[in-house]
Amino acid sequence: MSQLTIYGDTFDSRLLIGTALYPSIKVMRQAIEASGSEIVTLSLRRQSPQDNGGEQFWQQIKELNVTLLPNTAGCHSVKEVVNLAKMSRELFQTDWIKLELIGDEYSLQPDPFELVKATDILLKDGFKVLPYCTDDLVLCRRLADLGCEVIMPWGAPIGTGQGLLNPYALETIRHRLPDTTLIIDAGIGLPSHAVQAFELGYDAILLNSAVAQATDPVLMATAFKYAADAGRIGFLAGRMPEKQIAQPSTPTMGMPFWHQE
Amino acid sequence: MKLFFNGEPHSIELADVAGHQRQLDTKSALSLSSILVHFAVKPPFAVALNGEFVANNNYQTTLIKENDKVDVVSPIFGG
Repeated sequence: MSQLTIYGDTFDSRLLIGTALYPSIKVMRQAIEASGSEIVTLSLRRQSPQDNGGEQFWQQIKELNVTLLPNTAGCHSVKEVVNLAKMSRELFQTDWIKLELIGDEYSLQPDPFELVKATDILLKDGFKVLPYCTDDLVLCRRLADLGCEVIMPWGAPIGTGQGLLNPYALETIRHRLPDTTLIIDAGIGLPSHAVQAFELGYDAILLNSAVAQATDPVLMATAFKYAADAGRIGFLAGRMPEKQIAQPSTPTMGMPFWHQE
Repeated sequence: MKLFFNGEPHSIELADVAGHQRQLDTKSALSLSSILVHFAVKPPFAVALNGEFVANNNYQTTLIKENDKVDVVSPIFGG
């Protein structure tokens, strides 16, 4: 099966997974391993002496030997994301940044206008930007025009688990940006949502809560691993033509009793 | 000298800050690296001063002024 490409780097897994909200660090690690993911998201926060500077978490992440995708979660301005991105680049030694710039506190909807400005600044500064955005085609096209090789429209608001609320918009983005790596970020709650994302032609999915807040996170991580494979392989296989009229699959020719009455 | 460290107000004396660089001082300036030692910052970390990133090779030469805001961040869970 073809590999996922992110700014020239290739990966076997098409599942990107977050590190937050797990019942414990141990479960987090087991779930990440079960998911087969090669890319994990993480963040930066003020150092707290109480948790020893996050040393335990950091040790576990390093031992996983995965590619790190730091985010700018919680930022509300261009200045905040640009500076947090620079801090991430130095600390994590990566120029990858999952760019989150929130425009609405209630829905956690990204601010599309400021996102474009921040993306432009960071790309020019050498970052490889993976912007988290809404499912607006023109926004996504603008981000691609700036030089984003990866764009991550939401399926639904962060942490809702509602799935792909606007498949039409997502499919339109896919059709209009055929050469961009597209990743559904946020909103996925079930393995079936993941399958749907891949069936729409998306290259990967990024999720966190769907696994971390499942009754059994490790088992759910396994389910998403298979869902990603099933969805991607199904997409590559090409679906049958849809029809409005029933068509028997068993031949009618040679049917006994045919017109005997 | 008053400053904000990770959002909390602190009042510190020059004499209390280990390793501060008097040769760089005016009366109240301290190097950022001295402040990091004073607050026992543990690696890995990155630093912003008044909301602006400071590269680690500039800690020694960056001076802290009255009411400056120092933020020190470390890795944490994230989605």
